[in-house]
Amino acid sequence: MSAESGTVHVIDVTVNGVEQRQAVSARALLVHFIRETLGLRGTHVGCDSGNCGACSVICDGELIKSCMMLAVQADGRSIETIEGLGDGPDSLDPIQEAFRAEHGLQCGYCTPGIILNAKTLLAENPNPTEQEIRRSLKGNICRCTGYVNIVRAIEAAAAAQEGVAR
Amino acid sequence: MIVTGSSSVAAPRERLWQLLSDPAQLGEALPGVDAVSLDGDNRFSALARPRTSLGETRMEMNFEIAEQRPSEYVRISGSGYAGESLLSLMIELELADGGAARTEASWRAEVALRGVLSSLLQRSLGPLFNQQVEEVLDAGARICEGAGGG
Amino acid sequence: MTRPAAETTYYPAVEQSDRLGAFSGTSVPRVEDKRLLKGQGAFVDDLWMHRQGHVHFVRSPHAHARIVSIDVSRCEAVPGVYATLTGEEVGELQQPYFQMAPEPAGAMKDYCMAVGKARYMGEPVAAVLAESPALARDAAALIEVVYEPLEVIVDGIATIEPQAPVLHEEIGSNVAWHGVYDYGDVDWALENADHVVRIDRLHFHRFSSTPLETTGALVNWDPGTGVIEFRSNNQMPMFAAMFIGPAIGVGIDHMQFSSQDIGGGFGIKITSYTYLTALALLSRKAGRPAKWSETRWEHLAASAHGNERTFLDIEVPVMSDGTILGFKVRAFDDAGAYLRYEPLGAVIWAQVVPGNYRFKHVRVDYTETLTNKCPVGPNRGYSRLQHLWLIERIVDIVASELGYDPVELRKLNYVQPEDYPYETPNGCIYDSGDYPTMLDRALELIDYEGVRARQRESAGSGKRIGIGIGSTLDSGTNNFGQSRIINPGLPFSGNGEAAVVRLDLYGEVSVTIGTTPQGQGHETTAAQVTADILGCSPDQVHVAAGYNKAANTYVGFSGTYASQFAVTGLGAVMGAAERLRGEIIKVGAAMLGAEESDIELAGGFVRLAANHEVAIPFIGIAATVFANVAELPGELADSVTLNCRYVYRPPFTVPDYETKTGKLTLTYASQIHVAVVEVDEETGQVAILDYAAVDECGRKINPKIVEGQVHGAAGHGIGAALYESFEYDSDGQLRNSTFMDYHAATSLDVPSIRYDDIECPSPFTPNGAKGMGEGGGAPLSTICAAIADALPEGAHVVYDSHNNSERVYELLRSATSGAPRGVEVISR
Repeated sequence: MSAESGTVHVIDVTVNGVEQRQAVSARALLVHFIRETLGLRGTHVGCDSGNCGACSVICDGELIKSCMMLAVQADGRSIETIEGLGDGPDSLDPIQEAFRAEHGLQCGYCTPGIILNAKTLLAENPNPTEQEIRRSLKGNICRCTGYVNIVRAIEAAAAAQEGVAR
Repeated sequence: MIVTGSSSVAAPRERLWQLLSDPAQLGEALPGVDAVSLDGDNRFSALARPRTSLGETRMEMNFEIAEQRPSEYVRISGSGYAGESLLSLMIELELADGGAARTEASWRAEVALRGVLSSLLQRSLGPLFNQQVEEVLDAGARICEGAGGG
Repeated sequence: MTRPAAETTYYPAVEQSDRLGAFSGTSVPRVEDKRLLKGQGAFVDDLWMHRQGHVHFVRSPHAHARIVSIDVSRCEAVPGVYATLTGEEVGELQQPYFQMAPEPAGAMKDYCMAVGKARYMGEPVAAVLAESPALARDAAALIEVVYEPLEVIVDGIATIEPQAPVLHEEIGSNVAWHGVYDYGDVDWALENADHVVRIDRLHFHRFSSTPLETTGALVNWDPGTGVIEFRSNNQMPMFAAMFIGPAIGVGIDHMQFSSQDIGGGFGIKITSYTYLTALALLSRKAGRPAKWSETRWEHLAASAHGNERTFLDIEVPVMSDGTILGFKVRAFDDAGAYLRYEPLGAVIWAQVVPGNYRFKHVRVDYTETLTNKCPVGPNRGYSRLQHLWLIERIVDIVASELGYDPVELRKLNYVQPEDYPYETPNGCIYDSGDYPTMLDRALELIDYEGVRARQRESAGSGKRIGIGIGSTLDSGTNNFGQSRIINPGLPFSGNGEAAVVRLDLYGEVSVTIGTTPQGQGHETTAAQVTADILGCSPDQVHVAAGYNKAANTYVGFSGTYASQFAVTGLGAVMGAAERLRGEIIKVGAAMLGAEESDIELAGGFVRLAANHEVAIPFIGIAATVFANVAELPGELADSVTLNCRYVYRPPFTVPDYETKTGKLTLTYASQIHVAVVEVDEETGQVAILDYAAVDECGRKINPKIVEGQVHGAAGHGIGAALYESFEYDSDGQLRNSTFMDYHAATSLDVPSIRYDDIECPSPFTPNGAKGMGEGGGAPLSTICAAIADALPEGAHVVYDSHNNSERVYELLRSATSGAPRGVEVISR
């Protein structure tokens, strides 16, 4: 057995709008490709069974758990991570602003996955009810906030978006 | 845990019993088997990769055919590693005629799994185990057919 | 609501700052948020060191087994494997860890991996350091461990029977500690009470706060300098250092600890010093940094669990007017396979002997035991959680059995607002509070009268409504001298935290603290109080993120745990800020040719109070002291450094070992919760229809952060009450070691929480605040009470802190089961 045994594949994947061509091991998970190969550390690992959502990213417009996808499966796809939000290293996008205003995060470990969850929810359902928000969040575990302020933050983000739209 | 099950197998009873009580033949019938090595009359080890809904698990097991009554009963014990977890089992199979060249097989097994797999599989260990037993019996039936027994 | 400063007979007078006001008390948005929202946080797995290797642990699948042999030869032959480590080597390379227990349990030999014997499923027995995490795992699979399985004991009470297998031969039994706490005269009370309520058994279950980020570390034992650098998410690093140092023979001055962002701790990341030790040994062996990130199953099986406690033979003397005189109980705490932070839990509960109540007569016969399960750690609410749940169950059961109104019974027995400072039977001083008002607020929030009406109307509908109350305390700022109550030989007492507030070369206000925040917002709140004291804005204060030992701002108990930051951490920051303020004023006065009393600080300037135009910005002060000091008079120059360190020390003395009394914690925050549940008669499923939490934690520095902590603690409590419980089988196998089967509460499980708060400032702290993060676990007793209220007449006692639908299903049918109810009333 040698280091990183197993086949290696070259994949073409767009990440946060930037086209990447990288060699990946067949067994590598997408989350490790994002974190280790691309150096994007905002996507986190919180479990080993696809339950916690800390690894959530947006893949071709859909929220997925990047620990449940192999890197090779991302070939030809477009991925958006938390680093893709906002207009640069110092700016917060409106969803992020809402989370800050509502104290929707404490330790911050679940936060990137939750923000992307909120983004996909609001893209699909700009005016969700509390129950719809909670249902959307079901796949993202948070141990710090009790979800109360996360729900408030998403409601505030929805209201702000609506305000902008008008 | 205690697991019981039964299955109807497309092989005649005597022939199936012969296979189950012979380490050389039984080893070949293991699901996803990569290598079998014999160790005396009643013992063998196997390296296998059974496929379950959770994927492939690499197993290194030692088996012993512990007790047998011709054409009707065999008791097999096994232990070894399944991934980083330990598996030990003891299965008693009873064979009865099941119609034309068929056998009604029923079993009672004690299965113990230790390590993270015991947690991951705790809800499905029973059905998973029975599924593997059925695969062994069906593989055994194909071997019987291939060998042209009866 | 505020109260005047109380008499000071209990503690020496505390000077309470009158400078806090402009920013302290407002919900300043958090400084931490920008980086965390953008995924720019630095959690331990984000860190990297040149030449690092990755670690994988081989773990025992057996709950109890002798380790016959470990063969690493096939593993070491794999290219890319840098080193292996076995328990046998560990036994040579380290001394057993210091134990806090007295003999005989103090003789326990505890190492960073299993030496000779594995004692719980998942205990590390060997480790591999390799080029990549995947290679480390693959190579580790080639390590052959031969075990001789031994008999397993998982019952925390049966484990003390003579026939139970002994985990640690050097101790001779599975009893870790035993003692009797006896206050007042409970025998007299039982003899003279109008009623005695006897409860057979109550059980507090095993669960964990399961922080979303698992344990991890990057450790480098530098061969050149001999310094070990620990970059880890351990939340009490100096405690860890005190254990690691003697074990591996390295001075604490040769250890460096740092962390920036930690993804939740909740007490579970205190006992990770064992893993840090193993990584250090691997690093030294390989001459490379060793990096490790725990997987979730490893975290659930082998990091730390919360204490599991069984209460037997509870007897409660009650007078006919409803006054509860106290109680007696036999308590068994199941600590798992090793002690680590235990047996401190055997005394920590005594911070709240009577809970929220005026009980005077309490006897607790407390035994701590060892079993083949994951060792426990100080999980959120540590040890008070279990005791406060017991008390609230007692109060609720007394109400139900004797026909008292649960609200009135509590109000009758609560410590009353006029009683403070209140001395408990074992000499603890409750600083302030107002539970009756809080209870009223909570009941209002859920429309108590309205829900009672709905409850009546729902009869026969197949859904049973229940309302429950839970009262708790969050005792904060420990006196570590209480450790001497369980072992008089321990060299610990008091508490403390350190902070440095300084001006940097260009006048920047800079703060470092000895704490290890995991989401509590220290960078923000420390900036708020500093800004108030120095007369600038929080934006002008830079608080260093995370913890860094090299900043030389720590004491033995530095860290973030035990609901104390608002007192110890902020107390240290305030003290340092006051010192700096004094120095700035001194220098400013000299530079302006004025008296110090003419000077004020505002907006980052030093100025004449009488003429704001005459002012020097902080940069002017700093530049003079740091780069232009010949312009200052010699005496002044010798007396200022603009680098001010302060250690906050709560005014504790050593508790009394003989009487088991003393002042064990400085502050007592409280929470009163009310839950409305709906129980489905067919399935036993419990839905929470409404939930209210009222908090009191003294003066709040940042109200939104405080409320967030209340929400989070409630989330953990609700999760534990209905969804989260570690289940071991008789083989010592943990049945639910992944998030598939250990159901961490989700957004659909935790309801919207109605929140209210009152403020009863503490007279004993520099800022009137009380520590408050742990919460006290009110949901556990609240939901038990609510379920009990929903059950049919004659149902059994709700005896367990965990009530999944199966258990509720059984309780629903228990009235007609014919089995004993678990409770008996003897009346005179």
